[in-house]
Amino acid sequence: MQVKRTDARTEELIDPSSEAWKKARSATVVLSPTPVEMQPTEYVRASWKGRPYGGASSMAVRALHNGAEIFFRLQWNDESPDGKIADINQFADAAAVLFPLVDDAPLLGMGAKDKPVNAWLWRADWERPKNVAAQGMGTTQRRDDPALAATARHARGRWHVVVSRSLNGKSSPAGTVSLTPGTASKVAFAVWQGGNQERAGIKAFSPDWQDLQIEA
Amino acid sequence: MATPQVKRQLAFVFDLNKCLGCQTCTISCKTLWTDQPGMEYMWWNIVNTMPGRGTPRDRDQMGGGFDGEGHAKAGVLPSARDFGEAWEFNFDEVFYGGKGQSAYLHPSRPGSKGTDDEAPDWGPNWDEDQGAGEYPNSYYFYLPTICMHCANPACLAACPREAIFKRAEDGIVLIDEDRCDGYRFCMEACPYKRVYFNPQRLISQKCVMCFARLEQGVAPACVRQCPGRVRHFGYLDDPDSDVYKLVNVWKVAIRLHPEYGTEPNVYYVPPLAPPRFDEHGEIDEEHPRIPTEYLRSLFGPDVDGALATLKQEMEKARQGEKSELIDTLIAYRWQDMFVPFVQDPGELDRPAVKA
Repeated sequence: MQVKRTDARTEELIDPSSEAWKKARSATVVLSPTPVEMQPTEYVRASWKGRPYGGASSMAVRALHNGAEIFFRLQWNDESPDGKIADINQFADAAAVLFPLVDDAPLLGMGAKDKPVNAWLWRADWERPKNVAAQGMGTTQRRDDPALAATARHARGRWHVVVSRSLNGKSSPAGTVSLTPGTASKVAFAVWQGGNQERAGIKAFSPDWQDLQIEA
Repeated sequence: MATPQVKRQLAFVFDLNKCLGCQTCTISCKTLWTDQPGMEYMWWNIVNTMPGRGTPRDRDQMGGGFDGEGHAKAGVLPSARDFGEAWEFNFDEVFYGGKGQSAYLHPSRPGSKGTDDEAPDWGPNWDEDQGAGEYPNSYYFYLPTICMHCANPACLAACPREAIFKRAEDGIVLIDEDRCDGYRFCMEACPYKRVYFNPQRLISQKCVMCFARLEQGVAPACVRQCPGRVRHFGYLDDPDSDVYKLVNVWKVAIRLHPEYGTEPNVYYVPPLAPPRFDEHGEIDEEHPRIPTEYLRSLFGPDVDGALATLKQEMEKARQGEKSELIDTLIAYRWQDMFVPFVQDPGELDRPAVKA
């Protein structure tokens, strides 16, 4: 996946329907349900065994940066958007962009001890995305991050979400990724369908790290 | 997951023969713990009429807990309507709208405009006093429930974030609100359905056994406020505590739905009932008004022994003999019910309460 450099302004890039996005090449990321046997508690395994989840089968991803900030435009099919938690048995749609903080951090299981990963988690009922630091399942720490921003729109049976953050992550909480133009990194993606009560490890994810080339 | 180990366990005994269904326990808990935004619909303590659908409605059919081999069972996540929403009332119209003589107070569902078709069709105590059976053999009793602070909590085992813990020093089960991400697997897994979701704070919340009072030597609010002397409280291993005597010595206090496998630490003295009338209107001493089979469906097979002991000791007391069990259940001295948590909260130094 290429992250091209652009001169477009932040206000343009944060808009999923902006002309600025024509400059970026679209990558199709195949998603599949997380394995039910990998879920961290017996309850989650028992209650989701045989119950369909992770139905978002692919995501169209474009990425751009302007030297200071990086922008990911995520698009995936969802016929019935769940923008808020209107009742206590409801969940909101969500998506995440995940980065390894060390080369061999495992994707399956959200990192491991001393092999941290960092996610930028967008959720339809939140005003801003949150920064998530993790070293294995159940260890995730969600933090507000003033450097994270998002714009989301649901149109024609599809979510269109732009998530952005400063490249260097200087003002972000601990355990966050720092990205440098001219280098390569890895990235992965996940989607939760709120209408199906998907949350936590019950989601669709890209089972392998994707290469992320950040143009100098 | 292994059952959490504790050094001591605090426990409750609720005497269902004395519960009046007055909900003073419910209100004492509400005013102390659940009066903040997002908690309007929460009743950490609730008293339901049985037979009845419970709170949330039909909770006994919602699954959760463990099977006979100790494996987690899937459960249902209730809606706010299942619990009973916090109704709104037309106070402005009645009190300030100049219609005090013509308008009357009526509830409406939260967020609705108060029209008749939006009238509530369920509430936290909707089927109060309905019970079961046909006159003259109709029957009901009251069943108070709180978080059971189980020895093997299904909520704790279900949480993928390990946000729920059981205190080693007293066995209280608590949710760490900083770790909770609002996934609500605990709500599904709790077979007693005593965990609530706070839609404002996006976290799960439940009874905390008034731990802050306990640390000052004060009994939980629901225990201390009960006007019917229904609630005994203390350490299960303390021979001076009522709970020790009723659970371990007399074995008249037993668990609700022991088949759920969570080993709850709220115990119940099962309800005795007057005898039935037969078809001729004669008293039929052979058959209790509350079918024993129904009580077995709630409390398991131990209910037979508990009821037999209760009857035997009541008979002794009727004959003028001394029955330590009956004296304990009568609770002549109120404070004896919750030894050693007998501190009067009114005598503690407290910061001034804001008006």
